[in-house]
Amino acid sequence: MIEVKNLKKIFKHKNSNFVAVDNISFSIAQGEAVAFIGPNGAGKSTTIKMLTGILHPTSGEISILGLSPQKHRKDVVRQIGAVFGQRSSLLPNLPLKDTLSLFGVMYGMSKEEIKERIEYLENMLDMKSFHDQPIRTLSLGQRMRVEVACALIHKPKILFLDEPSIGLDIIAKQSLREMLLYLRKEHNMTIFLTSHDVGDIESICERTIIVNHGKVVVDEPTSELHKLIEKEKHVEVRGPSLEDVLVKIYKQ
Amino acid sequence: MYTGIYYIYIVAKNATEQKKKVVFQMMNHAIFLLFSLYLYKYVYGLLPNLQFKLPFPNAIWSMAVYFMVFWLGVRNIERYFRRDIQSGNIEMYMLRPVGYIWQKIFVLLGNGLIPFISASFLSIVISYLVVGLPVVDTSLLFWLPGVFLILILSQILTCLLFVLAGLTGFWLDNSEPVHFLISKLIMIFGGAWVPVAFFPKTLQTFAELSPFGGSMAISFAMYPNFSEHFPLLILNVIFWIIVCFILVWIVSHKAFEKLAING
Repeated sequence: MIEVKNLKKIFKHKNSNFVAVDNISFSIAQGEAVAFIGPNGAGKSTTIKMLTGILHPTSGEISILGLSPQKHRKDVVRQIGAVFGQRSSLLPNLPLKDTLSLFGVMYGMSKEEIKERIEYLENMLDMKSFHDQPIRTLSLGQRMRVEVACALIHKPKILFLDEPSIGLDIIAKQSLREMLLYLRKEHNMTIFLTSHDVGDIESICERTIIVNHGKVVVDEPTSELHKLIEKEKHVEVRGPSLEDVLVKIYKQ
Repeated sequence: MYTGIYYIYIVAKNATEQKKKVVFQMMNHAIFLLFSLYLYKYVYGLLPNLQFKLPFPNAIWSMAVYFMVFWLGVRNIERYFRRDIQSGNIEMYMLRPVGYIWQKIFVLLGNGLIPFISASFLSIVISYLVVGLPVVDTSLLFWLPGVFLILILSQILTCLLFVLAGLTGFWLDNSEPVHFLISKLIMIFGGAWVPVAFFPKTLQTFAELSPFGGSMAISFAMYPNFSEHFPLLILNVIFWIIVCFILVWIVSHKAFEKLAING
């Protein structure tokens, strides 16, 4: 579904070149949820931007559903959805229905299809309570749900998420994770996630690719990651985590 | 086609949610127009011979149409490009199955549509009430569609010129100086500072045949010798549209390959 071979991206500056992505290769099968993580400046966002056709690689090959995102950008974006946590696609003065309809029209959906899909997404993402409010009056968590709805309006096969939980409180984070898990289980959606939030990675992705200085340093099942550094095993019995406690208190 | 119309409709809906802004813009327009009218009347009073070069009603209509077109805000497209490139928000548009430049044109038209329609109404009413119709050498049945055609084509040319300015931002990071240059050339050769009819003959011909003058061809369409000028105006604008379109096509392909956005 996603094939990356010897991908390289060099940003040319006035006096120097910066290698953001350095010969990385990996493949992702349909229905897989993969976390693509690393420290700041490791090349995560640059990679996701090349996979979605925004940036052109310096060298190497990318295949998304058999197509090159650079040569067939429009065909590729019709089959993928993307949420970038630090950017917004929403129209601030209008309710979510208008932005979602605009996206539906751009993806060539009929009026009936758009209406049905909005109804479905409003229920799935629990947006009914604020569907008449202008976007600018929504909380960050509510806005993120609308961003996800925009990315899902055309039933994409792959969902790219670049730090989607940035700035969200724990309730909103948990709700986002539940929604992504639901999409994986019910729709067999392929998820490619970059995040600094360990909770996101543990709860959503069964595989983790770690990059540093533009290179892949680890590509392992998420549950096996701890074995890379653990030399001894400790058994610890704990009650609910602080995060679980806070979620319960907030919900009450 | 439907996507474009719907896109423009939704952006216009988003823009007109701020009704007070539109009302304030139109108050500005009316005040500016009336002030220009007063100044022109004063100048024509001081220099009565100007009437032989450009009749007073035509000067007023030319000015009114210039201000009217200003509200469509076609030249703002460069600013949209600049903002997206500098903020990195361009990536959100690149994730959609509609070309980036088209999306920016739809946003521009959506934002400018209501102020343009309102300003057109005000310009036409104020000019007609104050000076009547312009003096032209042909019938209104030929003049009105001719003016409309020139309006559409000249705005397409203006848009292409400012798209080119915006695309330079992919190399310069800040295309503001290019915007400034094109904008001032259009103002000078479009007759915003001094009507082109008052230029020396050679400069007048250059102004009318340059892409900058072509982008303001609508103000030339208000001159009394309309039917004599019409074929040349149209051919000139079409020629520059073709040239600029080819340039935009070539430059945009290079620009998107060059795009760099940090994390």
